[in-house]
Amino acid sequence: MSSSTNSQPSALMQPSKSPTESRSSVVKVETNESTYICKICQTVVILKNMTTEYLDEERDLPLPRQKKGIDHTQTEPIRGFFGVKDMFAFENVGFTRSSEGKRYLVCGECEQGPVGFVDPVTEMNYVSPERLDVLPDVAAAAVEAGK
Amino acid sequence: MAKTYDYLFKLLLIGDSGVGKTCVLFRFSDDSFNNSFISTIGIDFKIRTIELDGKKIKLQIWDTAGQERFRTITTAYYRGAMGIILVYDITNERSFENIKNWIRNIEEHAASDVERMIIGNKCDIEERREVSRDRGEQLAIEYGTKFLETSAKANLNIDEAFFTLARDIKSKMEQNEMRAGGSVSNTGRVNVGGSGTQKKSFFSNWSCNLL
Ligand SMILES: Nc1nc2c(ncn2[C@@H]2O[C@H](COP(=O)(O)OP(=O)(O)O)[C@@H](O)[C@H]2O)c(=O)[nH]1
Ligand SMILES: [Mg+2]
Ligand SMILES: [Zn+2]
Repeated sequence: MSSSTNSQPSALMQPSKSPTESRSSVVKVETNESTYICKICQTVVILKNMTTEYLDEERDLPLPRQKKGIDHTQTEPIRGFFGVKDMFAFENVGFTRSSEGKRYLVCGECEQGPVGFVDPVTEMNYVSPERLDVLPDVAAAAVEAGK
Repeated sequence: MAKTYDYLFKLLLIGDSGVGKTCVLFRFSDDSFNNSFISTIGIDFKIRTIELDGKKIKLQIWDTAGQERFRTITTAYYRGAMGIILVYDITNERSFENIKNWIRNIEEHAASDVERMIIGNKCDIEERREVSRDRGEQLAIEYGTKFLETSAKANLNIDEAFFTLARDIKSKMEQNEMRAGGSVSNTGRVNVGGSGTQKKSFFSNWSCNLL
């Protein structure tokens, strides 16, 4: 697992420095243009335009379902995460306890996941579009019209 | 970024070990989740978004990490809490009697104006009931709180409990705002909708086997 952010332990102490300057080019200023929902229960996890960056990098995420009788956590590499610092940017999300020093994000209704992770150094919250579904345009329009 | 909600409430679940606090917060949607990564490591807190009277409210709901077993819930856990759900188990007399002790603990460690509510959980197992609904209601009257019997297993009254507490906190805050003479708080409200709380979920797939 690569970790572009680990070289910046003092990032939090330097608010004047923009994150895109201080981190590698795998982080882009880009927001999520879709509303993302849980693949299992369709609850909205995050509305569109709520994230502040896109991390174009591969990270290992634990598989939602672990095979029985294996003593280590099975993971798969996932590329591309939307990031946001403010946890209240999410509509419905759960934060796991820490496992091997890492915390993960899950659906706030049915707990399926992980759908993302918390960067232990920067405390940025990253969600994976791959682990979520896009709210279809028709439904999104209805949401915007107020139900 | 503009604020996209009207209120943010931090809520806690408190009560004896085994009364079902974690299950109240945690809903498995499917049996195979028993074997999932998430049920193994557990959840610290959830953020849920609800709408009350046209206001968008973020709830941050915390579960204990099991400290209640050793009665070591202290100021750190209570910090910033605006609402507390006190939970007992209707099949466990002792857990009901201990509500008084938990209230004392809250009075000692939490903010003095924290909103409280009492719930009697596991009301799906009537045949093992040790605490009548009437006694639950009386206790709530004694402490001036709302009361509900719930079942995390059958998903009965769980959403109602969170909504009731959120509504009480909101009314209190609005009264305070009016008293302060200020206008209602700044609202950069965006389109709400889609938050999962309207959804009635998962009556059938009970599998809260926690580690
Ligand atoms: N029948 C029934 N069992 C429940 C209910 N809520 C929790 N339980 C069971 O009670 C036990 C303790 O639950 P847990 O949520 O871990 O309690 P906690 O220690 O307060 O967090 C577990 O075996 C749950 O499956 C309920 O509403 N009905
Ligand atoms: Mg628990
Ligand atoms: Zn879900």
